[in-house]
Amino acid sequence: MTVTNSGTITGTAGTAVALGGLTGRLIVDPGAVFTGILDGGHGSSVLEIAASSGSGSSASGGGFGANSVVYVGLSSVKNFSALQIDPTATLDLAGVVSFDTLINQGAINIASGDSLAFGTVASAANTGTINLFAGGTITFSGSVASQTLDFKTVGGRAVLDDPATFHGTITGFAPGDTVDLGDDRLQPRRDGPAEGRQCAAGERERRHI
Amino acid sequence: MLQVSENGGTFNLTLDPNQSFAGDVFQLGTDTGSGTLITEITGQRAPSDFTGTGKSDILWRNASTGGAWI
Repeated sequence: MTVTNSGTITGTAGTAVALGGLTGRLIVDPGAVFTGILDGGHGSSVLEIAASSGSGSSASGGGFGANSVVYVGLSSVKNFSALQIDPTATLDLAGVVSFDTLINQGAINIASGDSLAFGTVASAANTGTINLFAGGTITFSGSVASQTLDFKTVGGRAVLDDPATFHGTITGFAPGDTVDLGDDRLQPRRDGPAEGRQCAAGERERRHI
Repeated sequence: MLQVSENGGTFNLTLDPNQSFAGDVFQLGTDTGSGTLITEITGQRAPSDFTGTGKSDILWRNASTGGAWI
């Protein structure tokens, strides 16, 4: 089942969209307005952020978009297995939410106080970008295919639970930003702080910890 | 590329090849749980670097005249 919204869906009982027990797909076009909860149901449903040149609007609720940016209040999103960002689309989210899978060919903005977590990031034809702003948190608990993780403003936090399978590129990393290797396999020595120095082009430095 | 090895395992974190980290240091520390934090600190100037070359300088002072040279 696929539901595409480029207009307005208003939930009279608090839920704007409920996909039920089926594996469904909710496609959100820029300009779409939801008033109420977006419920992916009990299947492996996909929340797809689409791109178009439609004019935007503003409203409260589960999500709304303007131009090529889709704004989603994640506190109103639940039970979706995967998040898909189409090429040239941008998701500007607010809140805390997790998905099993991310397929990102566009961009995601994570701002202060917002947190987004994924099990795995699947490979796609186009390399997506995750823009991490000060106070925002992104968590990857599994493997990450080619992806750009851009620390846009100082103070972002990225958690990599399986750094060995992180195949993204980190850009904009600066003092004040944090990469948290969330697993318990890597521990600094207790007899003193460990340090790492970034290598020059073509050079690698190995840190034994 | 920032390469980290531990307990016989190695992984690489790919950084922006167009970004300069010259003189900066990547520092490892514990997080609030069992993980490890990677942060970056700006490079510290060498002590007594009066000329800004990144190397320590020697200041010579003539006790009789009060003149000084680097």
